[in-house]
Amino acid sequence: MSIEDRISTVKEEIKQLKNEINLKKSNLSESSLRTLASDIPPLETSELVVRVHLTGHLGKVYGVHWAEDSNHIVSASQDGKVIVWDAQAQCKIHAIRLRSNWVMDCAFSPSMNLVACGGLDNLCTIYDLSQEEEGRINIYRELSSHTGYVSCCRFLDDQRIVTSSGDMSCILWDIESGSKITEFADHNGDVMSLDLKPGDTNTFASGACDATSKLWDLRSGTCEATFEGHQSDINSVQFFPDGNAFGTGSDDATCRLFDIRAGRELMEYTNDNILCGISSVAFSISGRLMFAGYDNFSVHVWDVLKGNDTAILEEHSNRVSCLGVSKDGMALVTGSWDKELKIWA
Amino acid sequence: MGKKQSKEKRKEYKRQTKKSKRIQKQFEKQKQKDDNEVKILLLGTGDSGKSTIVKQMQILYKGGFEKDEIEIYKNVIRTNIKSYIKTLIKACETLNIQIDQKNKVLAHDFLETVRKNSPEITEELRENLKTLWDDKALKEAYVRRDEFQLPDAAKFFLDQIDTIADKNFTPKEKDILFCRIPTVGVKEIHFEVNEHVWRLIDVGGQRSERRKWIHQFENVNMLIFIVAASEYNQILYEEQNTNRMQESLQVFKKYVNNEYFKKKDLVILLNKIDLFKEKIEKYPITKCFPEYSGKNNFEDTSKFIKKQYLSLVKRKKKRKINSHFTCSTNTDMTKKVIESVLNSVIKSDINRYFM
Repeated sequence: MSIEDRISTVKEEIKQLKNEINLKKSNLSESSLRTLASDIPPLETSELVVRVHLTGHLGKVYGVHWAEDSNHIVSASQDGKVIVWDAQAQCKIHAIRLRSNWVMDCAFSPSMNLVACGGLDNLCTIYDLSQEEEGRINIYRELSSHTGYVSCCRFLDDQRIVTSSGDMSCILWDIESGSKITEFADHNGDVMSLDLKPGDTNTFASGACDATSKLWDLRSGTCEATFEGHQSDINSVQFFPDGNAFGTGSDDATCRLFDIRAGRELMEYTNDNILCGISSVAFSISGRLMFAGYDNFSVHVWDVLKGNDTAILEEHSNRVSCLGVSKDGMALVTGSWDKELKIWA
Repeated sequence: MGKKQSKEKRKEYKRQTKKSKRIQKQFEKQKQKDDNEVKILLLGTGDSGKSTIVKQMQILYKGGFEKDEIEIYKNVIRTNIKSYIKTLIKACETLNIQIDQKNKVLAHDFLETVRKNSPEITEELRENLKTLWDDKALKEAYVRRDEFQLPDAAKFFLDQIDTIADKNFTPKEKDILFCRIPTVGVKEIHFEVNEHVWRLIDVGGQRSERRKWIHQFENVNMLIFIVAASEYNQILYEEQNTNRMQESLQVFKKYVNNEYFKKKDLVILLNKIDLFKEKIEKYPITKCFPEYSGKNNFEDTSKFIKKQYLSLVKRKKKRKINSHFTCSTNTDMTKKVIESVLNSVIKSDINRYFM
């Protein structure tokens, strides 16, 4: 047999084995999340309304991130600007002019001293907000090593940051020296998103265009677990508040919940009317709700336990590209290609 | 709250709002500038000449290259001539070309000991490079260079080993145009011509999934797709079974019909036309287009290739499509072509872009 034939035979075998494993797993499970939650009364929430419109960006908003104080927000747009907003005062605190317009994500450090952004320039650029010179904030560090775009970045602290990239890898960086500490390479497609595990400084999750999400050990650089189930690119990954599960949003029009200890998918969030991809997901502070931003301009609020849509928020006039829930759980911010940010409560 | 504290708070609030308003004003100024820019996206497969066009813009409209840039190119050129010789020696092996007894040991040692990544060239190394480049076997491999991967500029530099190895070597503009440095990420250049600001964007360095970032360029005003006309008989670096021009046609088809680009004005540049003219005398284009039954002269073959690209454009109405022959390493020719492109934009009512 030629090599190609051998490879396809083995691939078939693997597929069959995977199906057998999945069958066994579902036979062993006593119930599904949906069934178990059927007795729980439906959620009674007041309607989420836009409280603040943050306008000023001149191009599509691609990234948004709350600061730990639940009041400051950093946003990045392809007009080449990263803006730091004061949500309560509804004004702009800083405006950073980027070297490259093509930015894909931004993040605040927990201390709020640093802001990072990354994009098509393949770099993760760090700015120090405390070093403002004549109204301008200069580049503090430029982290260079990725051979593809930087899709997402999250600070561990003021000294370390993790990035995900279109080169199919993630990197843990030492900011001061500007060098790589660890490289995480196991995905077979562009890595689109990452999230740090709450309460555990040694684990993070990533989602990629190979339709899988992975859990990584920061110290050893190894992939601890891989979760399959999605049928297309995963664009967003976010941990459940207690860190034992995580939610994902994908181009296959579904959001899913994966449990780490059970090692499997618990629920799929979708319905027949949804035909477009999800760009971003975020959990409410209790974890009962999951917010998902869609390409069809809307935001759906999913009941995580019961699996149904509790609300559809339609205020943006273009794709919702990013969103986030504040640390105190009081507000949701959404960013869109319509150049605006909206804060909901 | 005490009177003093609330006064402090009011002061702070006033300062914040003032700053926020200042930032907004800056944004509005910036918006005016951005809106007056014509954004052009440069597309094309690897090695088609996109970066060379960007370099030409640097020469024509921005006064040339900076000192530190020139230094980088110097080192790249020196490193490259060593790797060209290595590639030729390895090609002799693959193509079964016997190297003369007198140079066999030299070639073998060269492969083993010379560090490809350093720009150092000693006296001894300079002599060895010249000897090897003069070798009959390597010359034969060079003639068959379409069967392996050798950059087009190899001969240009290998014919100047003495100049390059000299410690006072400073690359001239022509050397920089020929020197290949793979683009990383995104390369942009903006310049002013005819009272308008133009921004050329070369995103050729991204090897990732196009669908994940192509929407970033939804607002470009025009696309320029560059084709290396001379690669009709060459194979891809990434995949040894794929013909380069076939790959270029596939990539072209995907880009021009993409949901974000299908209404945009398009310019097709058939580049490396000088190399194409040379090649077409020896190698028929049936290598890439077996269905071609015309004559093997420049006129007919170049027309045929142009037609192949144009036929892939799905929406021809409501968008302007132009094509030109270019030689991106020739500054004068490039100037004429680019200015013709820019003028056609201005003539066709540039205001259409700013609605």
